[in-house]
Amino acid sequence: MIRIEVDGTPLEVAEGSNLLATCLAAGIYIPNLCYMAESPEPFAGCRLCFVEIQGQPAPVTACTVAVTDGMVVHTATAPVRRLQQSAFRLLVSAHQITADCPAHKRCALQQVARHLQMGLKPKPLERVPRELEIDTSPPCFDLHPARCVLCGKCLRACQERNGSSLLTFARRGIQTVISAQGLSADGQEFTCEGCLACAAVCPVSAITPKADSGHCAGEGQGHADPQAAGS
Amino acid sequence: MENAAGEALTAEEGAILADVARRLAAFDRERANLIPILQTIQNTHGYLAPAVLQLVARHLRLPPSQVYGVATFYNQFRFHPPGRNPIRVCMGTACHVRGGDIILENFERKLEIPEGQTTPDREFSIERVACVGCCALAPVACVGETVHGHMAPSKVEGLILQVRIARERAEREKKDHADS
Repeated sequence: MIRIEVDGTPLEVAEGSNLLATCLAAGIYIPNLCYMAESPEPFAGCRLCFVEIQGQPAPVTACTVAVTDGMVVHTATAPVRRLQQSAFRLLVSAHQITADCPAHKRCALQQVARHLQMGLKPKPLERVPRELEIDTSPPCFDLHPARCVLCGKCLRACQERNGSSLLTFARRGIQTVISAQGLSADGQEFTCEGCLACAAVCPVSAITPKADSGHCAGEGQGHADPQAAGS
Repeated sequence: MENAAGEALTAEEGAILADVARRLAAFDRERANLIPILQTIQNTHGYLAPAVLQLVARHLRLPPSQVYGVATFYNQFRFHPPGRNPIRVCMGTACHVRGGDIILENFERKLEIPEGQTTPDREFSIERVACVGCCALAPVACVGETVHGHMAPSKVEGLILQVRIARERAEREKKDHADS
């Protein structure tokens, strides 16, 4: 065990453990969307979990840092907040917000907004809504690409559970979407068995189980509660 | 045979699938072969049909979505059959400055298809390209092999009409020949 200090609170943690996971476990919330403890490599794609570590010239993403003895971490300095707010604005500028969203009130984006004391408006950036249709072709779930924040958790969850991911990023740049193209239930080599791990892990309800998913062996009922991660 | 959507295949699609299946046999089942395979298919048939992607996925034992993900990442792959008169609108720096995006929008509106797609009669397809090499003529659009410089939104309809008239004339002449 080694000692680190986060925002003035001394913590005793196992050496080499992940900084973000350590803080979340200790009840210190750091905004994050894409971190998954099960992934072998951090994705570091959401750019929200910045922290400042004493001795380092610039803020770093907490999900890519292993704790070392005597580490002094600050999670709410001005440079950190500036980076987080920019990243958050960019995310919500392209995020579809509707009143009937099933993630309403428990959406990870709302939690991040509360923590950063920001609204769900990208001010001063413009809103650039992505006009993307709901993909109802997968056998057990629907894809809502306009809600997706491209954190990639679903495809890593699928990879983790099934050995290879049936979901993937398609297209590129601002047009990138999560795609389940060609996903079928007709007994081919790669068939969605409807474990719904992807829907369970989605922080923004961009993957919703089909209402009539009786034939899907759904484990992850509905939606992971982002509050469980701390706060 | 049926395609992914469960529709009966047209003779053309069937022929493409048969050819692709034959070509696939020459490639080892390694994921490193994915892009060379897609390039070969694109070169011979001009586009990648959804059923073709399924076939490639099965050959390489990859999830179909991953093949789709790779194919959509690269601009060089098309998912619609090219038109007989491919329209390429230049989006290079000079053409962009002179309003190339407006020209593209006009073609899209007049032909009622978005960029990257083909009209139902297979006559036209629209593509955006980065510089055709005659920036002094910006904005530039190419219809088939012909370069049209100093494009203006008002010229778009004329160009489309020109192609349609030329085609009608060719058909009429062919008919006259056959009659005489």
